Amino acid sequence: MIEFEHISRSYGDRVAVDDLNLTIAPGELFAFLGPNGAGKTTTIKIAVGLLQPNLGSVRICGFDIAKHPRIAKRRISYVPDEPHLYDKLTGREFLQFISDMYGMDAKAGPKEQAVQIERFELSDFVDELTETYSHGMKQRLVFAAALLHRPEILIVDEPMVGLDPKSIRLVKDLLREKADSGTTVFMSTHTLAVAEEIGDRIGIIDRGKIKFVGTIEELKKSQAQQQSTLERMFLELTESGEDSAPATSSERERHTRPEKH
Amino acid sequence: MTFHRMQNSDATRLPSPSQEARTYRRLRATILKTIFCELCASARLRLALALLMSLGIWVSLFFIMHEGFSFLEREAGAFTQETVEKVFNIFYASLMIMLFFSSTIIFYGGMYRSQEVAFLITTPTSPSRIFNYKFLEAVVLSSWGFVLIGSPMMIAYGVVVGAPWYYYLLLPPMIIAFVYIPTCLGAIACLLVVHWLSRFRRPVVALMGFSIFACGLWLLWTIFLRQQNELLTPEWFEETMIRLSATENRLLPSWWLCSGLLEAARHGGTSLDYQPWAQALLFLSLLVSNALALQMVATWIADTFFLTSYSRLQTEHGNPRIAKVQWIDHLLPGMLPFVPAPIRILLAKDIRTVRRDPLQWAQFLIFFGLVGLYFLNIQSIQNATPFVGWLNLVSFLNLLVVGLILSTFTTRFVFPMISLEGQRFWILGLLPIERDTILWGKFLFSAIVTGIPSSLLILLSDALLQIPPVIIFIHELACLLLCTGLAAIAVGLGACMPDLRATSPSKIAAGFGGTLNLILSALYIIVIVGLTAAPSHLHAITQLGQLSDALDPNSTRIWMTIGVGAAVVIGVGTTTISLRRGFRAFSKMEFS
Repeated sequence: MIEFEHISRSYGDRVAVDDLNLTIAPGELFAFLGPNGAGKTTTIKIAVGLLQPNLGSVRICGFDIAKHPRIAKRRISYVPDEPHLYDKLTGREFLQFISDMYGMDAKAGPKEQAVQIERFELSDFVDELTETYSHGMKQRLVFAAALLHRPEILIVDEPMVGLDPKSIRLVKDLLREKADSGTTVFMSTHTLAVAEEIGDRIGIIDRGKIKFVGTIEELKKSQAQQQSTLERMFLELTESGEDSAPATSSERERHTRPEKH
Repeated sequence: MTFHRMQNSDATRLPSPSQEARTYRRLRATILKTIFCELCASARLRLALALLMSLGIWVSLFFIMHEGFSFLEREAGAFTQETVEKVFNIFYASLMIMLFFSSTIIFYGGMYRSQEVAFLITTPTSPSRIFNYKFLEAVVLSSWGFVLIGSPMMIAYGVVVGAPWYYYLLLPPMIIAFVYIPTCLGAIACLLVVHWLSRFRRPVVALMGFSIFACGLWLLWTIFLRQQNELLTPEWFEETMIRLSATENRLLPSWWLCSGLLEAARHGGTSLDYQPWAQALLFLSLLVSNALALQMVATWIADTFFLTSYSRLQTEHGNPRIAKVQWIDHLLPGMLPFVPAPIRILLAKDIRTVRRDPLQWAQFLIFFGLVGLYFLNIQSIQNATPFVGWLNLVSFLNLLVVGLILSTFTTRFVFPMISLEGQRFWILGLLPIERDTILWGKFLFSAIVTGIPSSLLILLSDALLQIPPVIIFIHELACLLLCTGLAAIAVGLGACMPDLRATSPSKIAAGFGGTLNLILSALYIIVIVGLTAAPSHLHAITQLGQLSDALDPNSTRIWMTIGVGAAVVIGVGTTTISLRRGFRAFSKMEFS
């Protein structure tokens, strides 16, 4: 479970995230949407401990990430939009490094690596240096690494960028499967169709403020546009002024959804 | 499960500090092994050259130091120990200051600006482990030069004074412990500045820069200008040593190192009260305990403040960089109305790109600034050396120095230009211009940008040395040949051996093509300067009536003309061939 409580973060004078309250339940796939510069990546960076909020706190499975960073991070896996890989390591060496970092023992590590290598079809290039990988190959390796230690929370930032259709299908199935098996999945994306297809709930953020949190159906109800597309509703929400943000049922519940539907 | 039980069970699943340390050691070892194997497989020439040059520098320094210490032993006699102690103290104190600043900068780049650390923060690694990992990197990167210079000096000293075996044994741990201290202080300064003064880090860096500059000026003033005595005399030396006696302060780690090494180099006496090796061990333990204590303090600071300071730094809102077109962007293209318009447009683009990247031109500026300072001081040679032959030789050596600096500039900045265009070739490739035009633009840019300051510097050097007009003309001609030739080699080779995948110019320059460019440039410089310098030097000697039995002044004039003519032929030939090859390769090049 991820709990954002009154999170605010500024970059100098510019407020990137403003009093964000959000709870993502175990087994939920939450799609985080918003225009460029809306505050999605800042929120994610706060959740994974890269940035610290000016105000508020983030709890990962009950642990405050600022107070217990190691224990909280042990439960997270983060796949950034531009992942860092060590150029001079092979894919297999990178996976081994991640296994060691997460304290996996000598038996479980290689076993889990083999599973992920097979799942992401890495075997053709896993023994080559990562500097020779294409973007898609890198992304598959990063996903494999992210799942090695069986995280309780998976946070992914723009997972579909630069992937071929087959890899996109693989990632979509994977995220859905992880959520169904009880993992909390927090995904930021610009691809509205993906959010619509696999997300349990969506959150729309604009200029640092949450504009909507709920299911697509709830969004349609709140917008009184039963026949409208997510794209149209998204554009209407993010183009409207700050004061005209809709008061959704989810907002009234402080964006909390404790149980999986 | 209660909160505390969950917390405890999670903590046990986390790797222990020793496991974590082992993981990072393995990571570093694997990366180093891969790099080494890659170098052995694909860049043997570069590796061999680097090793040979390092060995050459080490051996040369060893012999120079050996000669110096032997000279002191012979000439200074009883004063040797005292003199060496003073010189060592000054040397190590200066190194300590330099290590402090260099490690601060390296540590800042590694800890706060690297993608790797951003990745590591998201893993369950403790901040102290990240700190130690990056700290070790800073230690190695900031001190390898010190080891390269310091070790031959200390070994030469040991050989000259016939130091006992344990002197050589104590040398590495003492140097390592010493290096740790300024690096720790640099890391602590960096962590604290970023944590508390991150908003003001630019003024802090500017202040640091100003402090270094002021220290340098103070040193120059103390050593050369404030002196009552004539330069390079025993009295001058004594006065300088007195002025720099602050380096002998007993609280300085440099004094501990210096004293420890000097004690270790002494032979043991018969008295049980005083044994030099015991004194050396005492200083070693002083260095080691301070180094470890400082590292503990630094680790604690990192553990406490790093994550907060990292976040603070990343969320600072920098001022948007508004770039305007400046008069200087149009100056050079405006001076070349006869050059076709597309080339002038490309020239203006390259000038603007370089101007807006201070990292590029600042290095060039520093190099030429230092050479300029040296040239301004050259007058003292002129005053001290009445022999015209020497002045002539010095003037050609100055030409050589300028040429070598130019070759590093063309290798570092001009050679990678074509490779870098590969990333954005779709822009240039779609323009309605010939491909040759792009290379002409690069060539003209390099030749003119290097030509103007070089010829002015050479003119300054010649004017201060009061060189005859004919030799000035030869120098300026050689300078022109150097600038055009080096630019053509860099542009031609850059087009023949591009690295279209690399995004960093420094990586491109450090590759095989860059190394080859540097070697060919050095050979070209030696040939051009040699062809112009040797006959004119002989001519200068014979003009003074020396060697007149063997050489006729008229024949040396002919030799001088032949030498200059040959230099022109080689220069024009090199320029033409390099460019032609470059054009051919560039026209066939495929960009993805």
